[in-house]
Parts: sequence; C-alpha cells; structure tokens
Amino acid sequence: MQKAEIHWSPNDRNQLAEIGAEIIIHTFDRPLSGESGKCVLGGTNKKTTSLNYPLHEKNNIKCCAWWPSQEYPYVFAIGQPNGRIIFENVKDRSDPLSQGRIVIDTKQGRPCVALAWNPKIPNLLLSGFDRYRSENCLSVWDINHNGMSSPSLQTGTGITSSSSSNVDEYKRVDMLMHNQQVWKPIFDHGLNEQCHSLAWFKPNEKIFAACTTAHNQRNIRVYDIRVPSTHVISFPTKAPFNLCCDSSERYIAASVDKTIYVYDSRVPEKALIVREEHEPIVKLSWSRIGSSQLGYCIRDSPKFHVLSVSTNDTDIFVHRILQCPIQRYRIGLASFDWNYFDEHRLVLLSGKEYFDYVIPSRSTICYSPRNGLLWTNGLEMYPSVINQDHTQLTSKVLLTYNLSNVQNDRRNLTPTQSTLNTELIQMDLKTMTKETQMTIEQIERWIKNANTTRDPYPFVGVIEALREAQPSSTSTLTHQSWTSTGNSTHTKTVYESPERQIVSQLCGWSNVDTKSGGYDRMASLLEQDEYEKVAALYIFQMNVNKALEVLNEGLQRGGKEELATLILALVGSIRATSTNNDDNTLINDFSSVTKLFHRPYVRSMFAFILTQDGNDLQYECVLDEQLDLNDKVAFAARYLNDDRLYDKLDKLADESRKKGDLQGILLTGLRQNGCELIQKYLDQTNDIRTAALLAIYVPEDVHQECQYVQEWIEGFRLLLDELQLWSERAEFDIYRSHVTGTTPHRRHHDRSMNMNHHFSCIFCQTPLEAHHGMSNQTSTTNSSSTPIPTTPSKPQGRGSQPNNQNRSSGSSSYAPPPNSELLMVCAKCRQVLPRCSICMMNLTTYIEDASYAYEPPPDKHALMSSQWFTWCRLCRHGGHAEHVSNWFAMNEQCPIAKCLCRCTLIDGVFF
Amino acid sequence: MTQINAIDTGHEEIIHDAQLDYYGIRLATCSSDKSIKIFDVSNSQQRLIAELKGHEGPVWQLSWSHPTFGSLLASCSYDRKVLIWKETTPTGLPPQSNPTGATQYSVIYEHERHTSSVNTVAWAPYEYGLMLACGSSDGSISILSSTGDGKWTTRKVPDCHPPGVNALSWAPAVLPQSSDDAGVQGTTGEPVKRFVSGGCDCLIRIWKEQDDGWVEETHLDQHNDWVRDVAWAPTFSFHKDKIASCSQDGNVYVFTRDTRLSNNWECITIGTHFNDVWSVSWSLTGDILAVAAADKVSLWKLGLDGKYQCLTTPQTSSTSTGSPSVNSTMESTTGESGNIPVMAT
Repeated sequence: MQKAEIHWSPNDRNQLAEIGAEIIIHTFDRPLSGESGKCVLGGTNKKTTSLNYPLHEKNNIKCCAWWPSQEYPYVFAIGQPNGRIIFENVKDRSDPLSQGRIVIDTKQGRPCVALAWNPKIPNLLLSGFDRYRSENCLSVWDINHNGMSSPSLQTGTGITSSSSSNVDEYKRVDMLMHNQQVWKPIFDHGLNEQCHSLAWFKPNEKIFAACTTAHNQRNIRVYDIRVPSTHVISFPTKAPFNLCCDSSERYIAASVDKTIYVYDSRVPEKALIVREEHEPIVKLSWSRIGSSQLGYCIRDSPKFHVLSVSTNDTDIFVHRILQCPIQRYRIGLASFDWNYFDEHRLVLLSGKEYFDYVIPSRSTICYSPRNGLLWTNGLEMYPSVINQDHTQLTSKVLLTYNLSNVQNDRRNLTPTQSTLNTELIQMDLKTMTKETQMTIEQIERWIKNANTTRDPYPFVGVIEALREAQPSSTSTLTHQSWTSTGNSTHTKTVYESPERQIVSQLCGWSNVDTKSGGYDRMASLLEQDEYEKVAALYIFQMNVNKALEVLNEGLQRGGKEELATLILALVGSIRATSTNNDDNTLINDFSSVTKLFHRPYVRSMFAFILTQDGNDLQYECVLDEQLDLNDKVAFAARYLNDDRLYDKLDKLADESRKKGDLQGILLTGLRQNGCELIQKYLDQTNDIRTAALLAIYVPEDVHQECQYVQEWIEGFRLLLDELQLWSERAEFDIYRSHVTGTTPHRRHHDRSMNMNHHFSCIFCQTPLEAHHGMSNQTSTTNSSSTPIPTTPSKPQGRGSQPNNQNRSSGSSSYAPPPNSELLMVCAKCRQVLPRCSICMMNLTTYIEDASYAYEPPPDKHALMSSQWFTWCRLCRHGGHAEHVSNWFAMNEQCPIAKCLCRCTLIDGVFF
Repeated sequence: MTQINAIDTGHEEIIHDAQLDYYGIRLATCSSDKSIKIFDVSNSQQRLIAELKGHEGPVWQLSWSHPTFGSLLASCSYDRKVLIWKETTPTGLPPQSNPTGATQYSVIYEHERHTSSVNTVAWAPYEYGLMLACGSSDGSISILSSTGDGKWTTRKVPDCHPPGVNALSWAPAVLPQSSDDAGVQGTTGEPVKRFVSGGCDCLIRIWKEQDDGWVEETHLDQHNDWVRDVAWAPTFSFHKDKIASCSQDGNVYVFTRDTRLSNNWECITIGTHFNDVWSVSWSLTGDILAVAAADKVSLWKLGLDGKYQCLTTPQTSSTSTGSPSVNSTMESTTGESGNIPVMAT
C-alpha cells in the first residue's frame, strides 16, 4: 500500500484507523448531543492516538478491511501482494490471530486487490484477486467454517448475523484457523478474470458487486453467493475502480480516471449519471448510513464533493461541494471516509491533518413582521426563535412596539388639544429604553416651553434663539456673591438677559418658573437620590444654603457618609475663597484635593467654587466635564460672556451632532442642524420611531432642505404597515396632522374645521367642506371624536406608477365625519366621489353597525372597524371596511356587478 | 425567555428555505423533496393551505413579491428553473362549493434560461415594479421583469461569479443623494437599482443598472472562501448602505458605505468564528443582524464602540422552561383548529 488509507472503525463511532506502514488507531474526542446517532455539528479536531501497531516486514499490505465485531474490535483482515490474507489484532499482540499466524493462503502468488467484510453478516469476507491463469478472482470466505466441512449455505443455519454470538464465533475461528491449514472459499467465481474493485451490494442477502475484466471487457457484475453458478446482473462499464454501493441498495458507483459513473441497479444498462472532473478521482464512496450521498475527492483539490440522491421516484443528483475545513495552504484532500454510525459524518484527511466533520445541514433565517425570527435547520423549522418578550433588549430591537396596549389607555383621555400634542410621544415612551425616554421627554418639554414662551411654533433651539435676540438685547453683567456668607468678598460674574433666562428654564435650572409645565427637575433628581448632582446644580446657581440643605436631607434619608464629607468640603472651600484673596495656598490645596473626586458633578462643583473670578472666564473645569448637556448649556448661559457663549454652544452642538446625541436638539432645535443630528442618531440606532416622532415637529420649510425628514415619516409609516399596526399608523397620521394643523395659518380655524380638512377630494385634493347643518347631531353619533384617516395601509396603486404618486395617494386621508349630508360630488372638480359599493352610501358616511346585514364571521379580523374603509388595489372598488369584509366572507368576487376582480386573492390580509 | 417550538412541515427531506410574505401571514417552505408548501400562520399556528409541485429537483430558495403585485411566489431549483407562482381559484366552481377552502397556486411563468442549478432568487423592491433576480451555478444572474401583462423580459448578466452564484440581495430603493457645495442635500431623479451577489469565487459583487444593462460597481474580496449569503440592510438613510455577508470561511462581515464621504466600502468583522454559517438576515429596521450558523442562531447589533455585539444566542434544545404563554396559545389554537373559518378562495 503506497499511501496511507483511512478507515472508520465499524465498531466504535469515534475511532479511526490510519493504515500505512503501520496501523494507527486514532480516537476523536467528540461530545455527543445526547441523542444517539446525532452529533454536534461542525468539526472537532481533537484527536488522540490510542494505538500504534507497527506491521511486520512481511506484512505487506495490498488491501485491508476492519472486522465488524463488538467483541474483538481491533481485528483487521489484510490482503497481501502474494495472495495471502492474514488477520491482525492490533490491540493485543499476543493474540494468536496476530503476527500473521493465521493465514488464508490461496497458494497462487497473485495479489489480493480488494477485501470487504460483510457488514451485516460479519463472518463473510469477500476478496478479490488479480488474474492468475485459470483461477477464480472472486472468493467469499466464511471464517466460521473453513469450507471443508461447510454446512450448506442455503440452509442458512450456520450463519448468524448477530454480534452477540461473536465470542463463540471468534473462538471457533481461532480453533478452526489453527487446525485447518487449507481454506476453501464458500463462493468462488470469475474464472480467468481480473478483479478491480468490489463491494457488498445487499449484505443481508449476501449479494455483492464487483468489477472484473475478462478478455479486455470490463463488466460490473452482481453476484448472489447463494447462487454459485452465475451472476445476477451484469453490465459493461468503462469505470472499473472505486466500485461502491449505496445504503439503499440501489445505486452502484464507480470511477475511472477523471470520470464518475453512477448506475441504477434496476436499469443498469445506461449510466444514470456520468460526471467528469478536471483531475483524477482519488476516492469515491457512498455514505454508510442515512440518505444516499456519494462523496468523492479529486487530486490536488481541497474540495470534497457530494452527490446526494433523493429517494423519490425520479433520481436527482445534487452536486454539492464542500471545502475541506482544515485546509489552510490549499493542500489537496487526500482521502476521506464516511462514518458507520453518524449520518453526514465523515473524516477528511488533508496533508497530515484529520478533520472529524459533519456535513452541515442548511439553516436559514428570515425576519417575520409577526413572529420575530423564523429559522429552519435541516428538517426542522422554528417559527419564532426569539420570542417577542425574550429580553427587554430584544423586544425593543425586534420592533414589536406593542403600541396597541398603550393605545387603549389613551382612548380614555379626553382628546383635548393639549394632550393630543404630546400623547403619542408619551404612549411611545413606555417601550423605549430609559435613556432615550428621558431625552425625548426633555425634547417634548423644550417644544412645549418654546410654545408658551415664543409665538412661532417650531422649536428653533437655544443657539438660534440667542442669536435672534442678540442685536436687540445685550446681556447685563452682575456680580453675585455666595449667599451663605454675608461677609463674602468673593463674587462670580453672572450674565443675564431674557434670552439667557429662557435658556436656563429650558434646561430645567429654574424651578420657580411656573411655565415649565409643572416639571421640577430638581425634585425628580432628588427622587432618584441624586443629592450630589442637585447640590452641584444649586452651587452652580450660587445657592449654597440650598445645596447644603439638599446634602443634609440626603444624609438624613440614609445617604452615604460621603455626603457628610461633601458638606464639610463645601463649607470649607467656600470659606477658603471668601476669607481673603491672599490665601491662595489654601485654595490650591483644596483644588488639588477636590480634583480627586470621581464623580464629575462633585469635581466640577468644587472647581467652580475655587475658580478665581474674571470677566473672560471659560470654565473648562466645568464645561469639559462629563455633565449632562443641558447643565453645560445652562451653566454657559449664566457664566460665559456672549462671544465665549456662542463659541461654546456651537462647539457643543457640533459635538452632539457628530455623536448623534439627541440631547443636542436643545442647541440645534429642529432646524437643518437638528435634522442632521437626528439622521446621525438614526444611522447609529435605526430607531426610526424616534426620528419619525421628532420629524413631526420639523417645520415645513426645513423639509425642503432636508428631504430625508419626509423619508423618516414615510419609513415609519411603511414599517407600521408591514407590522400591520394600522390603527397605530392612523393615529400617527392624525397626530401628525394635529401638530402641523397648529401651524400659524391654520390656527384660526375652530375645532370642527380642523377635523374637516382631514378629508379631501381624491381628484383635485380640495378639502371637502362639510355641510353646515350637521353640527347639532355630531355629539350623539360619534363615539370616538377622533376621525380616523384610513387607507388601510395597503400600498396604493400598481407598481408601474411612479413612486411619489404611490405615496401621496396612500397618505390622502379621508375620514367619515360624524354625520353629514351626502357628499356625492366634489364641489370644485365635479367628480363623483367614491361610494361604498355595498351600501351605496358615500364613504364619508359613518356606519354604526353593519352586522344587521350579514352574520358576522366568527373570526373577524381585528382590522375591521366600522370607522374604516378600504378598497381593492386592482379594481379600485371598495367601501366601508365592515361591509366589504362581510361581503368577502361569503363572496370572492368584487361586489360591483360586472367587475370580475377577485379582490381578496390579492393578499391575505382579509383572512 | 427563549421559547422554541419546532413546526412540523411534513417535508420529507431537508428544508432549504422558509419565507414569510410581506405581512407575515403566509409561510412558504421548500425542500429537497421538490415540493413547496404554503402555510397560513396568521393565527399563531400553522395550517397547510397548499403544496406546490412543479420542480423536478430540490428547491433551493423562495421569494415573495410585494403584496402590490398580489404576493407572487418565486422559487428556484436544482432543475435549472425559476418558477413564479400565483394564487388562483379553480375556475367554474362557485366558491361555496369548494368546502375544503383549498388554495391553489399555478405557475404563471417559467424561466429556464440557466444551464445549471439556480441557487438564489429575490424580488426587487416594489418601487421598481415586478422585477426578479436569480443567480445560478452557471455563474450568471438573470433579471426578469414584467409590466404585469404576463410578458416577461429577461436580461442575463453572464459570468457574474464564474464558479456559481450563491446569494443575491437587492438594495432598498432610495433616491440618490446629491449634495451641492453649500452642503445642501437633496434628491435627484430615479433611484439607482442595485443588488449585491455572492458566489463561489469568494467575492461579493455589487451591481447597478446603467444604460439598460447591469454593470459591476465594485467587488469586495474580504472573504477567502465561498460566500454563502449576502443581505442588504433596509435603511432609512439616503446615503448609507449596509451589507452583511457570510462565508464558508466562517466569517461574517458587515460592509458599510457612506456615499456622502466616499464610495468605498468599509468592512467591519463580527469578531467570532462561525462554524458552517449559512445565512444572514437583517431585521426590518436594519439594526439587528441575525446569523444562522450550524445549529444556532445569534443576533448582533452594532455597539457604540463600533463593534458588533452579540445580543443573544437562543438555544436549540427546547427546554421545559419555555414561556407558558406561547405554550398555552399553541395548545389552545391546535385544539380549536376546527374553528378556522373556511374562507372562499
């Protein structure tokens, strides 16, 4: 044997023999997953060599076969060039079988080219030989019987296939082999032929296949050893080598040079598949267990090829190439072997490296709008690998915003103008992370504050607000001293102006202001036990008494001892600054010590106290600390002069824009800079919801400059559509229109007019004016005074329409008004307005309950609401959603006569 | 709490792909057994509503079209064909006389212009109309398009990945971003159609439509083995592109590009070696990447440090600690299966 051959043990699923100059048994360390026959996928490389069995000089190996026997798991049959077959027990050298003592000697010195144990009846050994005069080239030996006194094979009594009797068998072998010097095969065939390769075909029926050459004619023949005279099947072939048979006992494969032939034993005349490779075939072998897979490797190629066959009626071979997973230097795959026990498992040999490998089953995943994540792996499919409430983290990420639960709460609210403004944001906050939540609450406050203090609606941001005011009002400069120490000589320069005052309000620094919406930042911080932070904020406002009070309170409430230290240090440092300006050493001492504090608010608090006053201070010691952005802004607005203030604010705005820090909106406002900031945030987080909610507040003129703002809104709406959160999408639309409806040019309209502009003519986009006589009926019929603009989210129009049209038609909002005279015709363009195709009423007619007409289907889709209406995208017929859904519960054609459209086939939403 | 319930699809052999339609109501699976099965999963249970037979080989991949087009299903197979299926009703039968409620699908188009197994199929974003790309082991990619009149035009791009195309993914339809000197950004014209492909030449190639043809815009050569799957992330930015890829070499990469800055793709590696990674998929918002490797799925999200962090790795083995809510719904819904309304379709 020129090169090493590898062979899995038929007796132990993790053992492997390397047969070269010696026989080496390797054991792979492979944890089993628990179920028998199923291993952990992938490969392990961990290999221990348990046995190293040097062969004797005389034991030239021509071919080799591992005896399948649980009792004696390390016995090999070795075919030699001189025609002898010897047995070796590589585990136990003292075994009488070893050392070539037991020999099946065929006398004629022709090489033994192939050996195969019958895997099911392990006492049968099949051997193939070269041609030698008038000798048979194929022999089957029964090692239980030497053939001299062979019981009739046909009776079947002498042969057992159960491995439990192997002990006895083996003992008999032992005895027989010692006693009998001359062996006689129980089956002998192939006179004057040359055997190339052979394999058991149907082991249970003692049928094998072999390829032989007789008179330059190569044939693959199938023999039944119970029929000694002749072959069962015979067909000519071009491929004499690597003959192998699949486990389904149907296919035979063989190769010659670069070509593989696969035959179906039922129709053997024509090869089922002929596959040509670029390089000669090194090894070809069917998998030993499970579905039929034909593996092969070719010379100088690191790839392992698999043809798998499906066992259906028609034969399909699938070519799959696997890269040898251990090859690093593009070394060719030398050999491989399929495992006897585990499906898809094989060992790959590349260079000197072994790899215990399981061919992976294909596993795919896809996201589902409803179920989270869908995963298929092999034969199994998992509908939701990640549950929606899996962890807080994933529930957020998978965008199951669960808006509907919260929505019920808000139904109870009276939809007054003021709550409408903010409730959507509030509703959303419940599913956000705390951080984002805080930020958005803050932004919401800014918007509200800006609304009350400034006339124009949009929130322009601190920078803009200050700049606008700059030419008219200048900051006044005052010197403020510490309040606690009456005799203080130490002062700080404070700049004041109405605008600066507003800024500090926005930042939550002034809790005296009633306009800030009842929000007391200090109080909420105190609730979170942030005493040091609050103290620092009071210190920044030079209110020492309050700061000390807070710290005391914290101490009494069971705060840490550190707070006491802080109180002492505070008093001390203020004393140090106030006693005498000459006493710089004390100040220096204090500042060097207080720099060692870990918490930024504490550190900056002392740094502020100990800073010497001046007109042109930059306060890096405070402003470069890790403080909240609004604290920095408020601080800067109080202690920096105008030039420094603008510099600093620009710098801060720039930083937060680069970081995508939403807090920066305080500075940038919702102008272009702010939009860029949000885009940055969106790029980082993909939190389209936050972006879309903020985008609502972006004024219209900014939309022109930053068209992506519109894209956020559209993206969010499309996403809600895909998630089938149609009500939520509608609410979003209503909310949006309310916000934009409060823009100056609309604010003169009264409430009913405000609602009316929700529906407009689909042809000319003219708002439909409701008839004036309706108003006294309004309150009785309208249960929910929130009109729902509908278009249930199905993408409008056909694909051939341009994109922007698609969207605009999708967003054209109608609503059934509380009650109205029939609006059949648009007053402007005179086009007939759409009517419900069931009740023939105008679509602006509110219907109370449609179930009188039909039995409601038992499983009514949640979407169906009397407030909605819908239409088919293809035929454009539609009507009140409830009418239409009832209709399609019993019909499938469009309700319009002569319209053959089968609307419900378009998508499955109705079901 | 991880809860995994395996669905019994009834496929006789390995499932190669499973796809949900746009709304997540219909689930299509395909298998080596040459069949495609359609399930109704709208009630958090699975109900087989159709079994499609038409392919003569293992079916590799499926793709649902956008519901604008009536949810067509495209399938590709080892038999070198791409089939496009449409839900139909048996003609001549009034719906009431169809008590089984069986849904039927019929092939409305058959594409057989490939000379080898077709490995991947993907519908383009609906903004482009009915358009489909498929990639084959013969190395070429076909772009099929139709105006909806039943006629299909095919444009074949030869030698995309000469040893074979493994995966395809379309870029979302966003308008190209123009930026003038003043930094004012706007959008111009039509969206440029792009898709990404990965193949056995270990390359990822990005294609764009140009002058009625498809040209390679760039290729990415980070992988050193077959590229198994590519996925273009959904985006809410005009100028940000993001692609995930996985390869036989065990690496998963995310390529990003900011067209405002440059046209070069930056590569972020997900710092784990995956055994036998097969598939990558982005969440609907494009922030979470799911990776299916061997027998586990993991989720990844970009952290603030610029590295992808593993969010969770659900275990495959279903344990008794499963969330009771899901269990109970599974039980109750299977118990009530008789109550499913028989819809006339």
